[in-house]
Amino acid sequence: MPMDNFIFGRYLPMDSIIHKMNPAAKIFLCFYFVILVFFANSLLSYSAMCLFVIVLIFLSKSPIKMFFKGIMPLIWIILFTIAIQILFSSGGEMIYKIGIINITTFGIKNAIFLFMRFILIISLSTILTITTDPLEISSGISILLRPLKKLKFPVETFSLMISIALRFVPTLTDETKTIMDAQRSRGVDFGSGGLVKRVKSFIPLLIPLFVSAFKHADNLSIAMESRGYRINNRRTHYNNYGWSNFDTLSLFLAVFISMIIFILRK
Amino acid sequence: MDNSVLFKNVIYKYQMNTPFQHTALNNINLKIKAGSFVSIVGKTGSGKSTLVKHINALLKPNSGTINVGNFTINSKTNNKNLKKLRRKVGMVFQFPEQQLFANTVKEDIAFGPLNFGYEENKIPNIVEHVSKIVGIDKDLLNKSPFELSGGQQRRVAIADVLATNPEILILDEPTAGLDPEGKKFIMNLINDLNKNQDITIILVSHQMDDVAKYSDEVIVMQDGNLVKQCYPDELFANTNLLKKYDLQMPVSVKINLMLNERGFKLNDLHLDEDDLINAIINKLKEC
Repeated sequence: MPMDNFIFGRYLPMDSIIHKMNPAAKIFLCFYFVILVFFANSLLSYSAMCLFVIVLIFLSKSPIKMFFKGIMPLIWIILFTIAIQILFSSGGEMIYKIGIINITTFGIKNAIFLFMRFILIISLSTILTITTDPLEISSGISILLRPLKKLKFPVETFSLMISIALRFVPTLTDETKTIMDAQRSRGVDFGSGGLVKRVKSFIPLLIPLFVSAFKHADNLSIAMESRGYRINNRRTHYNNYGWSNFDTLSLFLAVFISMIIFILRK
Repeated sequence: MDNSVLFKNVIYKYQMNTPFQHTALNNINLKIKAGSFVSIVGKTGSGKSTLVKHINALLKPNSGTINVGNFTINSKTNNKNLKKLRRKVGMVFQFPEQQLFANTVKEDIAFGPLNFGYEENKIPNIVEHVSKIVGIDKDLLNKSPFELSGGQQRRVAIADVLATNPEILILDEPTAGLDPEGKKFIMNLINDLNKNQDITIILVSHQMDDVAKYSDEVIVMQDGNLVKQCYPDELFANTNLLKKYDLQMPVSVKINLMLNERGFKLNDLHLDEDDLINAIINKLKEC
């Protein structure tokens, strides 16, 4: 059945080297580069980072439109932060001053960097979600968490929890749509009227959704138990993600890029 | 007033302008007469549910228009002002018991009428009336809908929709997952609403026995196209058509065929089991 949109629906099944990477490596590198973005502090280091992300986007073969879609929901937060930076920071040369509002060269420079930082981080995480299937993400996370097992952290249970949660996102999205349609047919107007009325209109949606989520959980637990599921046993997986030379290369590349950023930063 | 449903060149695509784009309805033209009992059949994913969701504007066409009585729905239809249309067109979804939410059965049934602005002093009468129609006992009205059995929940959900007094009733697989008795009750109820209260019935179903027995007209969907609209006997008399559209043969048609093979020829095709039995008895009397 076609689904109009689901949260992780940004995944685009395509055939690029980034798609083929080991998911654990991809998640690790995504976090690594996001942290690296914070180390950039000069025009040159930001430019290098941008160039690198543009190359990544190109390598992932994903349409640029998807990146705008990732940025759009956050656009107000970004604009708000930038406005505050521009209007209220001090230091550097004063350009304009009225009351508590200071516009300084330092503020503008900071605002530009902040904007770049937002765009870079969103783009990096979008590359991850576009090129990685939700199930790959969950198994990638469980691989990365494996060392925590030594600290008695229930890694297997945790990763199963993530994959079950991800597995039910499309199911519950579908059910939400059906229930919304059913209640619309009974005269509910979602998202109109005053605040109280709007909140109230979600009760006929949320209660059925909870009821059905509990039913799913109940059925699933019975199904799992009847198939011999035991908590925290080491499980084998249907998909085993290999480690290719490109994954090794990408780790070296990460070190190389970090060196460039550290050389270029002030 | 004439409440016929008219589709003109309706095209609907899921996930427009994405790599997942998928044509669900491909240039649909059809007319459903007011007061008729029309069944929509076809394989899973052929566009049946998408088609009926256009009738009360839950989905809007990418192009083309739909007329329901004096309402017109097209791609530019505003989401506001749809209440009148949705009061007129009742929709019973697949597994409608999923929509139950209120504290008591009574409140759940009253929910629709209250949304559509019925006067509050009339509501108790409406609740009593529709619960009688669907066969829900009075003492169940004050119970939580979640305490009821599956079959009873289904009846309450249908009462929910009937409570708004629709002139057109759309049912998407209303008997799925019910026991034979429950199925029979629901189908008789729907037929009764059509014959005695003059409600237009649009039934989406995989149950060819029901389709053959009750409907005035059958619409066959295949891969988003309307491939046939005809009388049920025209469709079910033609085994090649059934094969072509991947539809199951109703039991009554099967019996007809088997009798024919053994040289026991009936004059007409009888789609209702009682008619069929009578015809066989009459034929035997003749012999």
